[in-house]
Amino acid sequence: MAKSSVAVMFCMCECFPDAKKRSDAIKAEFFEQNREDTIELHTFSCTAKTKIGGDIGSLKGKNIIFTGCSHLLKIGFYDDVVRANACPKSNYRMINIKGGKFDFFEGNDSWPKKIVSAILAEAATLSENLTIERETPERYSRVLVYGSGLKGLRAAAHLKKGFPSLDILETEDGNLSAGMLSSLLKDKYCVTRQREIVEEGRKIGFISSKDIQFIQPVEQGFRVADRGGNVTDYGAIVFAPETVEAECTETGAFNLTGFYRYLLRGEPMKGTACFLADYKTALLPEVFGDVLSAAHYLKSEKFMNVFIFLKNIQVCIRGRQALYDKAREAGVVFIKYADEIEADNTGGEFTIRAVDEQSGRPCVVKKPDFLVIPQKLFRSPEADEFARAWKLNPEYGSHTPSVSLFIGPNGTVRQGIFTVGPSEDDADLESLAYVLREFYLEERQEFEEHIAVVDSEKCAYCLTCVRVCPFGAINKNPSDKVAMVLPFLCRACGTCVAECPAQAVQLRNMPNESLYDSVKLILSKGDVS
Amino acid sequence: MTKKKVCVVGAGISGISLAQRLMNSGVEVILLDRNPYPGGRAARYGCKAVDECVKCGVCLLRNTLCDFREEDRLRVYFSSTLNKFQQNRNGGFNLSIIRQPNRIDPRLCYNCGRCSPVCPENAIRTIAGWKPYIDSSCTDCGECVSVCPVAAISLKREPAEENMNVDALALCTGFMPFDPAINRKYGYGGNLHVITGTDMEEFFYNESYPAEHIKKIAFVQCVGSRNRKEGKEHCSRICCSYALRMANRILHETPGTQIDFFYMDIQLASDYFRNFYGEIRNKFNFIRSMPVCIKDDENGKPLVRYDDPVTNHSVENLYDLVVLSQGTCPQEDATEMADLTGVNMDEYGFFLSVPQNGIFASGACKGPMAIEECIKDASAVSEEILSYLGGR
Repeated sequence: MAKSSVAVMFCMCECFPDAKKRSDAIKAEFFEQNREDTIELHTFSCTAKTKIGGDIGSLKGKNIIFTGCSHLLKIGFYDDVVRANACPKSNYRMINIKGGKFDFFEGNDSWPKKIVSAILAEAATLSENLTIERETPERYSRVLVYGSGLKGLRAAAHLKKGFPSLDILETEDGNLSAGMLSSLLKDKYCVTRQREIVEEGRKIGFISSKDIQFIQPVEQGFRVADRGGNVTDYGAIVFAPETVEAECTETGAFNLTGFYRYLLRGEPMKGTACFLADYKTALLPEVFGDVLSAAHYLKSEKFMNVFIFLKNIQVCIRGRQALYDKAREAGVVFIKYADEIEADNTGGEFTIRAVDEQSGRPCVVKKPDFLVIPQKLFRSPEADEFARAWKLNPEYGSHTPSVSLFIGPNGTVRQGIFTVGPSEDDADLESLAYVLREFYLEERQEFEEHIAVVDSEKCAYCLTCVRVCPFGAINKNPSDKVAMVLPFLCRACGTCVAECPAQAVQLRNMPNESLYDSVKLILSKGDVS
Repeated sequence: MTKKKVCVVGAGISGISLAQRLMNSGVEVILLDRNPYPGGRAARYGCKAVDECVKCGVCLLRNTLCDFREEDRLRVYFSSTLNKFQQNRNGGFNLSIIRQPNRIDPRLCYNCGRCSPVCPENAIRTIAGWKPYIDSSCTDCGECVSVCPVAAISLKREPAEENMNVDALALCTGFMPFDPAINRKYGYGGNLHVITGTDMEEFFYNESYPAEHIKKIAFVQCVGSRNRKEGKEHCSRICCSYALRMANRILHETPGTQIDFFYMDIQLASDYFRNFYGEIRNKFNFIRSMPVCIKDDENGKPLVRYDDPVTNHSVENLYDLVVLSQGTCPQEDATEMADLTGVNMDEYGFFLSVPQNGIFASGACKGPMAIEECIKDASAVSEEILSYLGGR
């Protein structure tokens, strides 16, 4: 057996008296048999449900043997926890060492030996090598990328290798964003690799959102039905909403998307072009790339005078500095202005007055032939509707508060839907394949809340359970004398199940709503002091 | 199927994240670091939370370190460097690793803490959750050897060489902060009131920020980045966010401190930071001008001379503390590493991943990255490595 490929978890919960002493005795026995190298020993408490995950998480990739105290083992309580926290393909066994007919501690002093031999026997049955292949489970490996914008295409391009069955849901506004349009310019004006990724993404199968009749959750994912009656099941949805730029309210000015559309129409252009960025809305680094592309193109291909007014030059994205340098060398004029800018819009003809912050000189551009004011970005209305229907975070581009940053894409709010933020942060997109695979490997195991439930018809009013409960969670019901479980104290340890002579107590799933109902019930009776 | 083996160079946040992800996928990982402790640079960063978390990401590293331990499929070689590197016939690599001896035996040491107080040089340090290590200021005096109850410390120094074959190599060598001492105009080195962002992180890490003496602080941005004269033209991306988060915490702890920012542009690098900047920008005084020079006045306080952007006159301001937000530069031995392994570099000296060759780069050695981004990048690169190993 490989060195410590097996970990033993001793339960030390409250329903197991002298647990510390006993686990020490077992450890000593291992030591005596010179097996402490081959098997790793850990202790945990089965009642601290939330902590178990952490305890097991450190044993990733190991085979695990649980030695449990009571009837938890019977109900398969650990299965979901182990699958979710340890490596999904870890094998595990459970050994019941106390409770019912398996009381190892009864009788003579040789119990540590008995337990150790039981553990070693179990360890021998566990497979020696863990063969862990990162294979995508076939059942629900289809992924739907919602949104055919730049973000969606990039996500699809990154995912394509690991998830060959991939579809992109094309929405109406998909192809019309400034980013997509800028990829149609010549290569030397383009943001690095933008066009390659867009072209790669376009090779993937598209579904038009008009054909979709409904998307509904099913047990292992999502079911998409189109108007022709075809049904496709998907394991996950990558929500990459398109962004739509707000219309420009100033007369005679373009927003960036509108300007790109005009530019690509190929009409002759000459004179002065002026980009007024950071005006009413902050210039985002990703939008700055599109501004640079357009400005550079106008300067080099149309020989126009190009001015870019802005507050902050956003070069924090990789490769943007080079693009900025190229545009500046080509002769695009950048004017950084202070907080005040005067934009005079009398008679439909614009005049911009600003103070260049570096030189301190006032700059005036009068009546530019083309004025472009990049506007705020919004999630497209269609995507917004989807987000609302699925209760995704409605705030545009904000992280959800308790998101696990390890996971990558921000705001994985609903199981199986991964939202990709609006920013051009490639790390989000590149790590998507990893996140999805982790998600699949978890096999959709959800934690279930177990709780003791007393069957009032079987209850013999003996109150044994009230006496044995380590948490004081069971009380006598004053009205009908049946034992009553206080759900917020019960930790489903199983002691009462074992002890009840009438077998009236069972552990069951407890849906959250009924938990609150029973709390309300108890409170209304005034029984909790 | 035979097990694949990957060597990860650098046990910083990217290296650890990458190694863990690979290990969990059934790959054998060898993790090298030239330091005797894990965590790399970010191990000595401090949390910048005020009443609420500001997502600086330092706790992510701490969490990662808590989960990180040596295992069957994850061998950690501290104080080790990559010496030779050769591609062999089957597409794998032959490595030779020079390993400095582990001067505190981690198998014997049980963190009793007796050694660190007796060390006259304070050379015995600990990283949370890990066994102590002896840093380079050790003078071999032998005090610690005599107090150690389990004889875990030995002071021998002969390095050992080890050869091995791996299927892929991942470079997570990280970055190096720009050293402002090379240019006298920053006034760094002589004056204790001029510190770098890294020094400030150290204050936060040790919770030793001397709040009562400091009433007026200047943050100087873009020190060693976006500067053609220094030869560092790239934007360092993370300095705006760390400097503003630090300033925010200082202001929260000592309200009334006057904080001036000397800057060129504020980079809105992440979604969170955009909102954060919008919330806190009015608390500070932003001056769009880079200081001409930072000198001492007669009391030893730093005097910052700059061209005032409003009046266009040269102005001198006296501060209690000047924090230089140093940029991130490629590791000083990045060129040697590139020569050794054949990984390509971009125009600023950062690595480019060349997946075809089985040599990968992840984390801040590819360009300036925040902690959170490093973890995401490690996820992405682990996928790349696995698909490369699977395809071979």
